[in-house]
Amino acid sequence: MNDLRDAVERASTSIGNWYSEVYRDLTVMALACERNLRDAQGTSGKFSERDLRAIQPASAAFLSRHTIPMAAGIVLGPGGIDNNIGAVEWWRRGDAGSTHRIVFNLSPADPGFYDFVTYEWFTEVVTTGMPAIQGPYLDYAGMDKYILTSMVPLSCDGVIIGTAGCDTEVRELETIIMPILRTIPGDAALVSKFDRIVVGNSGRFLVGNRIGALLKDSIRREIRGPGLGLQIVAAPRNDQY
Amino acid sequence: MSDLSGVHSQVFRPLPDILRAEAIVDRLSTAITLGLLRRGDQLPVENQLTAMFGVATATVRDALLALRDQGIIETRRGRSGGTFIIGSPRANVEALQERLQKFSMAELRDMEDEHLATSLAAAQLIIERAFPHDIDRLERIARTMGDATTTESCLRADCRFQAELAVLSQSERLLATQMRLLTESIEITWTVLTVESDKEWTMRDHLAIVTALREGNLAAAQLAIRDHISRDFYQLVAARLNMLYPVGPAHE
Repeated sequence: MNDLRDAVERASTSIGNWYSEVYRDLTVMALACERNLRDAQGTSGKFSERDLRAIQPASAAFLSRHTIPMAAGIVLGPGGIDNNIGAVEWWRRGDAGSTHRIVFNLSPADPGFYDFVTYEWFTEVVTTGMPAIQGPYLDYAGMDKYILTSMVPLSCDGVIIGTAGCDTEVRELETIIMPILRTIPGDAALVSKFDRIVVGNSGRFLVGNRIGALLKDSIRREIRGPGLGLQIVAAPRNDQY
Repeated sequence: MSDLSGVHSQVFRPLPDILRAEAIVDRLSTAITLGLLRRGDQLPVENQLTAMFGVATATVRDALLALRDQGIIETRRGRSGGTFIIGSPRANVEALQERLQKFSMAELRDMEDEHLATSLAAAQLIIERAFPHDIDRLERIARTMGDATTTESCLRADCRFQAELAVLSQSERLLATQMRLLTESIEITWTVLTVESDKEWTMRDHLAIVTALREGNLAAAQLAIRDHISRDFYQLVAARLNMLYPVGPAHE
């Protein structure tokens, strides 16, 4: 049991370090975007769609530094831009260091409407001003992938006007997290703050499942770092079949 | 997928002919392994194949040549001529294991989800629609696994049972979905499972499903199906993780 506890401790430190770096660089990206936007802004006081293109280098810099996330950018709430519906300025990694802008449908009447203000990664971050992670979830009408979204607040002159962040495919995240979880001598999973499994080190803990009622000798350990509510849950190995 | 330039244009670029020929060989080999095509069956003629697969004549010829070299098909001349299936493909365990490694955990779980959705729906329709003699037939098919002495014969018996679940649902679409799923997964499953250690519980699980269906007990049938599919995928996940990350719980 002590071996298990020690291994969980070490794994939570490794995972915490990885997330700390990602969120540190998301904050760096958010600050760069804020500067880009202020430079691009005209005299109207509100941003126009065209102003947002200026953040591409900041997204590209983040994506070249972090190869696991698939896309990065900013999301502006309806109040921050002259169209009154908000904006998603989102760049996806392409071949050989290139990036491509993803177009989101923000027209409420369309079936493919991307209603981003209903997502936790938006509402939570703009209301609390704290970093957050959402997922895994199927990002229908967005990236159309099974992803996690990481966000930090985006401010302009001290006022939060939206979020800055990145999307990570579950299958890519697995390549970072699984080797760490496999060092734990037991069944172990990285879970979201809602106890949804993100990566599990055996067939007992499959991604997307809720962790459910656990045995009393299971261990829980909060991932330190950006304060995302992620945890490791581990229990002595139980080969079910 | 609104952006068809850049990275997406790479995804949708035309497939090279060599890959298409391989894809045809794989498709036909798997169909034979699963018993969708049987020894003695005649293949459509060349220009029909060309139209059906939507490829060039030369591509079909390459594929048929490869199958002929492997002793899987034979072309006879004359009035009763044509291309016939005369052998079965050897399981390429290495290639199948490589395919298993390429699935992420999320993709494996998703495949399990679709298996569940299909089989659970089939169970519901069987209870509504099947006659006692249908269930007798399902039981006979389930028991053929008892005679299996090789992993290949286990695979065929397993495949036949799962196909029959869809057959008894009376839904052509469910059967098509089931066959697509089996084509994708059952050969991989039986590179992980073996006749020695997995034949007994597989047959027991199948018979538990039959019993619940016979009693008209939907909840029990669905529970038995869930148990069975979970067990298959638990093994797949364990095998994949042991290949890719050979440390941790599985190696204790």
